[in-house]
Amino acid sequence: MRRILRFGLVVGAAATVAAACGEGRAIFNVDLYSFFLAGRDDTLHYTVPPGLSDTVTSDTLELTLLGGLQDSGVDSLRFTGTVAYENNTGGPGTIGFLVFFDTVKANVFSGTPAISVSGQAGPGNATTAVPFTVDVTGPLKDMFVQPTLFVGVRAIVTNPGAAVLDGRVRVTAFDMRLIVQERVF
Amino acid sequence: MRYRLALLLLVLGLAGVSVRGEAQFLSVDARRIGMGGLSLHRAGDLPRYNAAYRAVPPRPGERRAKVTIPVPLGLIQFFRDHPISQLGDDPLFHPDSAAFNPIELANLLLHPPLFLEVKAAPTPTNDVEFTIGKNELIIDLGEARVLVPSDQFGFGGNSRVLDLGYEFRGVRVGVMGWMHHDVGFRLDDSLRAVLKDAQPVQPNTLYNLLTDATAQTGFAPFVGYAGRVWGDTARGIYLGAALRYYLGAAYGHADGSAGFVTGDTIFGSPGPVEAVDALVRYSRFGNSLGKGVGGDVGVVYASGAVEFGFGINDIGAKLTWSDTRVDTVYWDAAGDSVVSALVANHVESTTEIPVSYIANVSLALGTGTTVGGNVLYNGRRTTIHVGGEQRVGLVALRGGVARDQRKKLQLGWGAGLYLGSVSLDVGFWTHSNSFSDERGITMATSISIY
Repeated sequence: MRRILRFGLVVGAAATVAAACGEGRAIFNVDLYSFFLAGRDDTLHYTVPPGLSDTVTSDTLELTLLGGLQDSGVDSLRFTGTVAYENNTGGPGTIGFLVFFDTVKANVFSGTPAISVSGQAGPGNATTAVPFTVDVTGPLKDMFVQPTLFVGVRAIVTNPGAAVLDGRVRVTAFDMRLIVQERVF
Repeated sequence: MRYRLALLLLVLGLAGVSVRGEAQFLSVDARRIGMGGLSLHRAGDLPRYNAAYRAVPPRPGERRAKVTIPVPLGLIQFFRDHPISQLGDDPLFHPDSAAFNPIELANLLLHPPLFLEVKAAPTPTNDVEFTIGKNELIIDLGEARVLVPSDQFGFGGNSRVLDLGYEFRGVRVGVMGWMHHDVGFRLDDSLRAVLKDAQPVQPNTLYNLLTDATAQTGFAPFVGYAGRVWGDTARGIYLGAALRYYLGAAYGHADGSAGFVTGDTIFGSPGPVEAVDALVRYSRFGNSLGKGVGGDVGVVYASGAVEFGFGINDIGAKLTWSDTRVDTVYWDAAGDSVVSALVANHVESTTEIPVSYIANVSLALGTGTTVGGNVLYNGRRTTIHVGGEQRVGLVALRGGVARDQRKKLQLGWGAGLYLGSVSLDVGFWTHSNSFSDERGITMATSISIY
């Protein structure tokens, strides 16, 4: 993300200033998924014994975003994507897929998730794809003009069945549309 | 903040997109502004660019102003909107403010608010959209794409900031201070396609802004002559010439590029790399002087109501700088900064001051009407002015049109009230001295004392 935004900013700044296009609502359409390392960044594995629930949590990642926009207002922030529940055995179970953001690493998982997607896992060897569209509102969206942000992903898996529920949660598409009311342009 | 300052520098650097040249800053004289920038009387551009005008007497009934004092209504308005006591927190000058807009600041610098802006040129507005993926970057400027220059752009000009001398029988000896700057930019084909055509950024590609900039200043002792060589005061030919020995006090020239290079994957590791490559030649103040010889010539034919003139400046003005330093400037990836290194020292360099010229014609009718026009090349671009003045008793009505350095038609109109040895003048002119394709209108006010 650091490189994305740094590079994008340099080019974009030159472009927009060269074009002298006034008011300047900056719109960033970012294919976040394209930056994921397949199998590492896009996947959470779960194995839940019968009759239990479990929480699978990713490592907290640091994102370096645009600098200098802290005083700017976020007009809107939308995430769209698809989560695939790729179940191997057991089920049906339920999975809640949660994405958290915070400017303080230690607080990432203590706040309200920005994205919350629920779906069914299984039964058996089955994949359930759940598309999502989330418009982020309130103070959370304003975090995206901060220079540094931490992100964490969590899956809450419930297995009411009699067999072990095993599989993985995989993100197959993840896009961000950030519109900033920023007068730099 | 860092990138906002970079933005500001880009604004200033790319000012030539919308604004070209200092000559669009017409004058502090509302009379001249009211005629679209035309120097109708023997002041302003005529004696500046035509050495013969020093000897041409005033037309019958014409009075030359001893001094013209601008009435800075624009400054009053500006400081009312931007109180001095609050400048430190004023978003206009405060890059950390969300309301800071480098376009506004650039417009302010390009069009100083000396006079009242009765119609501000609107700044074009549209969204800018970035599409970003690991191996994708598209920048869509929307309708503003048309403002991305297809060819070289920049700004420059010559100024004579000092002219002191002693005159006897048409011969004048003195010293002139001079400044010359010429800054040009050009987007390379790759960058232009990205910005102008919203083409995707490609892997393994160099995107560059090419720059060629020169600035030099100094002084020039001169000896000149201006006088009538044929005829009498009613009908005559006047010649003028000046021989100047140019002494350069400081000089700098940069020729290079700045941009970035993409890797195999646009946002892969390590991602795009800054690319800066330039050769800089310079001689600082206090170093040995640049030296050269050049001159001006001019001719005026005046016959009753009609007057023609042609003057050319800085002919052959080529300076040799015996002791300059040459540095290479490049991007140091390890240090993540721009660094410079010595290439050669105490080497000789040469520069030129570009020739500038003016051709003018005027017609003074006996009815109080004076009309005229001129073509002025200031060493970078050409402007054309046509205008006139009609005296009606104590009142003078003025009007004019001009083709400015952006090749845009501009209009001027105004009036003056003569009260004995004082005139109160107001002039309006349209201008394109801002980041806009639409014109603004400035109202200039001044007082002239005769």
